[in-house]
Amino acid sequence: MDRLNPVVAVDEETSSPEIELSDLKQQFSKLHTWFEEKVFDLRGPVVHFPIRHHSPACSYHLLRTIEEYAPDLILIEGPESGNPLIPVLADPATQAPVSLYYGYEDESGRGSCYFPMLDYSPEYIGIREAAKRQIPARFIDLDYRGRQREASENGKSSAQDEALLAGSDFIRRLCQATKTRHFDEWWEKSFEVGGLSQDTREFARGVFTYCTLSRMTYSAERLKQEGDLEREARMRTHIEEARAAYKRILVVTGGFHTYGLITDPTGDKGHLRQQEAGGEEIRKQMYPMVFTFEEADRLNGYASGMPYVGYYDKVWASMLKGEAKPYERTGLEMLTTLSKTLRTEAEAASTADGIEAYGMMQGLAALRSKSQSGAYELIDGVTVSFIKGERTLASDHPLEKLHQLMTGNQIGQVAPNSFAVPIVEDFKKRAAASRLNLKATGQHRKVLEIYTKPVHREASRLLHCAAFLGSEFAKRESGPDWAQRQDLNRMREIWTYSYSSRTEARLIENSIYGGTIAEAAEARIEEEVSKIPIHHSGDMAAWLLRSLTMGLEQLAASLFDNVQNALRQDGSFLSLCDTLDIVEQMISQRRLLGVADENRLRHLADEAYAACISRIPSLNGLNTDEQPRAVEGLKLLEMHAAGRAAEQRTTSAASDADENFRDRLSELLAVANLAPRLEGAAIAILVRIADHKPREITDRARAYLHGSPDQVSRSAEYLQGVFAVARDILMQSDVMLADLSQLLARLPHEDFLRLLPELRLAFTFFTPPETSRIAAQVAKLHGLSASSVQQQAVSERSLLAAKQLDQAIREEFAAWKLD
Amino acid sequence: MTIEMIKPPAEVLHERELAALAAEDSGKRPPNWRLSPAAVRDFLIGREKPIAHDGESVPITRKFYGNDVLIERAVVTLAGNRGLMLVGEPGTAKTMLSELLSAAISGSSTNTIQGTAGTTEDTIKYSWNYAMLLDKGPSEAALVPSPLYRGMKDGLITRFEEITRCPSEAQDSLISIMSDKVMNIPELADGVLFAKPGFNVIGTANIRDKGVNEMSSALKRRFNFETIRPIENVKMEAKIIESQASNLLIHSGIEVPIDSDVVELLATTFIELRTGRTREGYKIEIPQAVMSTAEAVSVYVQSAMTSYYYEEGGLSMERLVQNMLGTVAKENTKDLSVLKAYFSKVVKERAQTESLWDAYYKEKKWIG
Repeated sequence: MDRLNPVVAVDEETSSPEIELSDLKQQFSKLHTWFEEKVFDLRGPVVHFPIRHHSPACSYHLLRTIEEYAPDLILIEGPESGNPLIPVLADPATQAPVSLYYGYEDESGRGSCYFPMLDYSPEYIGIREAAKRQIPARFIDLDYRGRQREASENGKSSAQDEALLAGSDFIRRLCQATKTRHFDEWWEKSFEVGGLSQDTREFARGVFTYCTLSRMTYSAERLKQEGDLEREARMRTHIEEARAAYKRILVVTGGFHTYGLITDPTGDKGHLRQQEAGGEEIRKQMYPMVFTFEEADRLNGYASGMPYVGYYDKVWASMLKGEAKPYERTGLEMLTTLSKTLRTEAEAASTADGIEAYGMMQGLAALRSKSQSGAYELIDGVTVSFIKGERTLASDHPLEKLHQLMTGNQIGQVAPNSFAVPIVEDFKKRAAASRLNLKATGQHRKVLEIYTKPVHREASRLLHCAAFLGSEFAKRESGPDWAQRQDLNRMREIWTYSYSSRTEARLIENSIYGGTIAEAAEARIEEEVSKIPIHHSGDMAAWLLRSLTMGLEQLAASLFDNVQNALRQDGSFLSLCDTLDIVEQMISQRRLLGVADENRLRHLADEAYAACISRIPSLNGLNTDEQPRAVEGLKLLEMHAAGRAAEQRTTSAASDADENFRDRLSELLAVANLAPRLEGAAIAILVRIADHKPREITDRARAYLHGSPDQVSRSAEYLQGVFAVARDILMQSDVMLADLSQLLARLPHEDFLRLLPELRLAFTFFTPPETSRIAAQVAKLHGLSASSVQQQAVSERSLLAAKQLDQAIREEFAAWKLD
Repeated sequence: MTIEMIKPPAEVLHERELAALAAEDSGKRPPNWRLSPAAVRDFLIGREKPIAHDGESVPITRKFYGNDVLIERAVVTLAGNRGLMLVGEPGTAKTMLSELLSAAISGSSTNTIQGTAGTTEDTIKYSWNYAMLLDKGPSEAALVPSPLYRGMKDGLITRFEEITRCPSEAQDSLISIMSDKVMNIPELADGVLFAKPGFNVIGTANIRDKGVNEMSSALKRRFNFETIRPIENVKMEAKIIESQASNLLIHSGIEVPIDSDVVELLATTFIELRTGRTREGYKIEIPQAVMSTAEAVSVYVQSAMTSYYYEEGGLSMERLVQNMLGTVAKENTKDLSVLKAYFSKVVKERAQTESLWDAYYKEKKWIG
């Protein structure tokens, strides 16, 4: 059986069916004979058991068939290179849901697909029973199908896709005639619920007949296109080969293929073989992997199998217990669980509602002639009795919860094995050590006290690694970000994470980089770093910081060298400032980051600081866009200069550093035609750390404000530079404020208005209370009260009065015909 | 069929079908039901094959279009302990559904309480013939039973129309009756009326008017709710308009064939204005007026009647547009500009390729 997607319709072009309608009746009678002779002849050497993937009823009857036929070999529709993995799957320590992950790489790129197995998947039953009976089980299907490449674009591709089985006009009419709403309900009614009371032979005949009829709605051309014919040829070859060595062979494949296995629809073996031989080179790998109910549920986008995995899993469990009415029982269990869950969420869900829903389920089952109420009756029952009032998004909650319950949240477990991918094992080991929950699906939340608890620090490193490797596992919701200088005051990191086979798949894809999480991350970072031009020390330092947050100490050691090298070749003031900032961050967080060699870090910081300072005089070459960042850089340097002076007051080196900074700034100030913003920043710093008089700031402002019109327009930019670095100067000294105020007051009105937007921008460096304080001071200077500044320049009343006056004059003019 | 009633009740209208179904029905029936649940369902959603009954073949037609699963649930609800509450926009055939259900189950769709703002507990339970009461004192003979009383006594489905229009104290008198299936008549010596099996209540409530939120949660708990949604499929809407309009026209003594092209055009217009989306996928304004299927039927019937009496011809586009105005401009005159915009955009574009839409567009002048 292949590809299940109920909305796919048979396309008009290819709907020339394999068999004409007139032939159909004849073929139909043939089906019966074929079934008896070629499919289900329990005395013959080969018995075909047609299945639908992940169908509990098929599994149930498969168990009985194995019991009755007692095969000496079980052949299963599954990728042939998965054969070595069968013992792992059969190991009692392996718990469903699990899957075979199949990754391949050819000339056209990489792809992957899954072969999932649930407790009630017939394929899995075949494997487990074979192990129990100590007979061999083998996969007989092709591994690689070209078609998959396109399908896998969505990131999720299944090896058991079933669109052809469920997607035809034929189905639409079938559902209409049987009063079922869609294929899945029809299937449940006819085979899952209906099949339980049937005799195994009768059941198998039903599946075979249905699947074969369904297949007949597709043309040979279409089947070939989909790759079905090629796969069937391969499976036939395997069966033929097995016949030489075994006497009783049970073949478990999708019912869709049974017809293709007992006949040879192509009659053209040679052609197929040739194609196979001439195929391009493919590199492939296969691993056993955990799977989740969530992913296995067709309703969540998994194209194969049945919906409501959690529900059917419970049904299967009670079938195994020998329960007389497993569906009814499961429905009842689900109802009680639902009521309980709803009640914990403070929703109204009374026992009476549960009773009503159960009654509804049974009534509907009787009305729809089902021997037990199935999944759809359960949904109807809950719809009717749990939703009070109009059904809207707001009142839909009970149904939503029910769907969650019916999907289930289980994650499987793979027995320890030699195929286990080291990186996945490593991840699991570290996750367990960090007490992360990998046992249940859904979003988990973890709050990490990174400063106080070493275990949490370890967990944080692992999560950072996992996030970096793109494992779709974890996402950081909040926490300090040193690289972006954001939220630095936070003491905790909060992460959300959820484990699924996708995580394992992504990890396996990363396994080419290394055998452990750390190795892979190191290799990936090295790859990234190699792309960075050698003189970009800022970017390099950012990677260094990142690798330390991931706990990659070994890599960090070599990145240290890189940063040092880059630093020496870096000519960009901005990049150097970034480096200095990051290195200083690392020094302050050295314990958290686990930096072993603190001296080296300090040395690096000194070097970066010196390099920065030496570039100051060249700052005027920067373009206007970069100037604000350069001002930020100067501010940072001032801060570090102060820090250095404080730390090493006694040593001469410190004063040297300080002096150097002062000298370079003075050099910058001396540059002709210096950009006003840089000038403002430079003078503001010098006033603070050197002997420059505060007056100089206003003097320079005066030079702009009283200069040529061009210069006047640049004065706001100058003030922006001053305020960006040293807004405290204005706050501390009233003299300066008075000077500035005077200067601005003298500005012609027109010029002032033109300057106003930029001036406003300059004052945005102040906080709102500071602005109010400045306003109050200025008001005082002009002999006004502080509150008068807050008032509107023109009151609403006078505006209205003026308007009225205007209107009156107009009317008077009009009366005199003067308009 | 003779014309004795303007609108015959469902059990009269579909008498033959009900008789045929009852004769053929071998399924298990809940006590006092005329048909088995499966037959009730088939009565509503139709059967492919006609039933041979009394020497003739009786086709079982589809009477309710939309969600078949909803019908199944509704039938099972009625066989159980809780009442059935149908909620939805006006004109979504809630009343029709409740009539059909009670006709099929109890053989009578007229056992109905018409809920209004003036409904009191008396109208819901029982009142008295005061002459007799004064003359002979309280006795069963002096008691005037309500439809609910009759329903309990005879085991019939009782319909309660527009339940949310009633004041809540009147609604609440239903609570204990629905849960205990008993009505106390303290005025009579042995004044307890036990509901006979087969009794149940179908309520309908309109969510545009006073919302169902007006119902107390105690009463809500006694009902299973089914939300009936407006139809969004042109073909289905056209089918309903066609079948209902033809019924109404026959009963008005007007024998003109239904013009299915016009019906489809009407259905398209109504659905597009209701959903705010044209079949080409463009977004359009939605009028405030209720653009229900029932309104579409009435527009069609009105137009057919005017054309029949005044023009002696088939339905003209002129009449259709004129009658449509009445429907759209009911709530708000602004809605007229919505209709106008619909004509000058959507209809105009289709007029270039389809002759019927062209004729339709030519009557735009009536909108003003």
